[in-house]
Amino acid sequence: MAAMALVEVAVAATNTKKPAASALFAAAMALPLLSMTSAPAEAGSAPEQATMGFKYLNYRDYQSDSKRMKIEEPLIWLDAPIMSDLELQATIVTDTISGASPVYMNTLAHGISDRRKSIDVTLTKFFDQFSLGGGAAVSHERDFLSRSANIETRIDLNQKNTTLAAGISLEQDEVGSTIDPSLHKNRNVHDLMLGVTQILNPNALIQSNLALSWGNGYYSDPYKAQDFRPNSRQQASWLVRYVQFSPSLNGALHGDYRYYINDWGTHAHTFDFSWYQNVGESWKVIPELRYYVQNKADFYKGEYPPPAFSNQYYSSDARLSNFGAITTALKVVKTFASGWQADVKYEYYRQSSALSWGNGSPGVEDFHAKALTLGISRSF
Amino acid sequence: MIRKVVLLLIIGLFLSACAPVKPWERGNLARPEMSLEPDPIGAGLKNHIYSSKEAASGGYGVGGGGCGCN
Amino acid sequence: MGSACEIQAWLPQEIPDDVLAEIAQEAHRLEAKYSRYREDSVISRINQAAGHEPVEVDGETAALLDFAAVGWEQSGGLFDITSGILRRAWDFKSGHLPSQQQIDTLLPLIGWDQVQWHAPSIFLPQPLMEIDFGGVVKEYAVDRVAGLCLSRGLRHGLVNLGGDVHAFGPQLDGSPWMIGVQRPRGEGCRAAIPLLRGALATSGDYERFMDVDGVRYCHILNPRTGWPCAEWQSVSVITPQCIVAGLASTVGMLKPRDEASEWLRALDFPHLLLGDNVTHSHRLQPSDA
Repeated sequence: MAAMALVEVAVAATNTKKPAASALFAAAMALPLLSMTSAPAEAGSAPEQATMGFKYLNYRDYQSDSKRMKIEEPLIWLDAPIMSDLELQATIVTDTISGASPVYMNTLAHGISDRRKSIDVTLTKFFDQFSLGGGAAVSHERDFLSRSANIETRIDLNQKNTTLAAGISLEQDEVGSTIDPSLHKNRNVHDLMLGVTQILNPNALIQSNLALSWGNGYYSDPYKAQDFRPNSRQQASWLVRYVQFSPSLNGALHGDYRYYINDWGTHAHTFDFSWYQNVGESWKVIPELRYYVQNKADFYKGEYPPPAFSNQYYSSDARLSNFGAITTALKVVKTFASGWQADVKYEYYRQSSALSWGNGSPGVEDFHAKALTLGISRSF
Repeated sequence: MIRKVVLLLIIGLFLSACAPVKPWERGNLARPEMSLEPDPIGAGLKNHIYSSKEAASGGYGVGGGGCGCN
Repeated sequence: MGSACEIQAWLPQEIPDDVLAEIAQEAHRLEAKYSRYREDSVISRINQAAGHEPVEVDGETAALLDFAAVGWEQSGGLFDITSGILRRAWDFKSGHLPSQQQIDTLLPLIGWDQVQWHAPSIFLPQPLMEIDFGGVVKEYAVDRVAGLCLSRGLRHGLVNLGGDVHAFGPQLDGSPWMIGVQRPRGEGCRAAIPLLRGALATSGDYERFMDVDGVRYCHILNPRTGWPCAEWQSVSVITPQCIVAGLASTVGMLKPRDEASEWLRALDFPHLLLGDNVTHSHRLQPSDA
């Protein structure tokens, strides 16, 4: 800190063109003033306080008004500083799935009742102008095991107005089947992410991330009578996120656009907008609107049984079809002076081939879902 | 395909020619609602559900486990 | 800090006891570390070593010294932390002016440009030289406490130490704090300045002074001449940090009458200058108190 301040003063002393006010402010900013937490664009620093929280998600989906799948997902999380320059983040999740997947063409009707347990841990070290983090995660359910590890770095440039981020992750999955105990397949996925965040002005910032993914291994769905997918998949996503604060309205607009493409022939667009409205000094009301559209994978065929040439890739999984989806959601957050915070979010999601651009895949029934998320946390 | 996307990222870098915002002007940027992800845990849950119902995924950050949804 | 002053925090919401305890602790810490009156303080150590050897200082002190250096530079030498020794000549309780001779013996010992400051060590080359953080620590403490409140999640409140204030958030209903500016002569407030967020510091010739033969001599002394300022009766300045506001208001008092506003305007700091029957304001809407 002192060395930086010295440089500032040296610059101020030798550069008479530098406005006096900024020289004074620069010197004042070098003081350990414990002021605001870092602006979001920065590589940042370890948080001042530790926070622990609990979240509960209750999700239900429906197809033509009949209930299909239900997920109950409680989780606990922790975000804590260790000494002045390390941050530890950990999440433990268990989810219970029951009911059935939306039934399409050829799903082998089977009741699902499964539990998933997962844990992930990340440790980040903060240096003056950059940060370095590493993490690992494990997710386990009866027919699936996933293990992954990742590292990420964030670098501040341009007086912390610009931040570059880069990350790599490696994932190893083991796929099984509850209806075919002899199935043991693997796949591994390598991910690379590059991102840049830029502060545009005192009230706005923008982020642009590019994510590339290379996967090899088993991708087919063991619960479908006929499902034969390629044994590799490459994906790319380009995400742009924009945040704008309005002092007069006392709220912030978040707008995301993501373009996704993979080598199975699917590309997708995601538009996600939220408005964070401050109400009084301790409440926030956040409506959200999301529109998603994708086109089908090359080997998707909305017909069953599959065509005669059985050495071609084939899937009639609706998740690979042409469709669009709209989400409307509302979240309310209340912050208490003692460090407690509580939040409630209700979401309604509707997926339909009628919502897609161009021709929706025929014969695929719409489905809709409702989700309620409750959260509570404490900082200390 | 990859080339088109990389070009768009590079365009993003040119934005750093914007006038730098001084540390003492950052009050509003430090507000919790100005964080790019004010609720990372909630976002993780949301993305997990979406990637099990939709083909697209990714872009938000590295890490996190995979999911058994095919 | 010398004077019997209490750090007050106007915190309109319920504050946990541990935050209040931290505030008190922080005020005491700074007092102990930088008090001229305590032999074990950092300032005393530096002053006792004057003329003998350099003293190594910690990061916080280094940043304060750097700030003082920039302040000296930007004020044309009017803000000078080596000018504290003038108190040996000026005794405001006595009612007597010092002799020019007394002042002349002190002047050669004053001048930040003489100080050898190369982080982390500082050396005062002449044995009787002194540095005094009196013009900086009070305002720094205000900023520290404001920062402490912010880091504990508080979003409304005003920290007040002897008239130097830092509002780290508006009042609970979002309205600004109304800060009263004292009448330089007589009782009560002459104006009220609305402050939503930021710091306001006031320097006046009525804090420590003596009137001799109808002329006011106050405690704000020019480091070049050794004599008090006599231009404006009070100067109030608003900036995001109290430590900068404090420096600006002191320098505003020391600059020649017409130059004060010019200098503050060049910095674009909202300010209020009060004279006998004159009020001059820039980017402020003071209401009559």
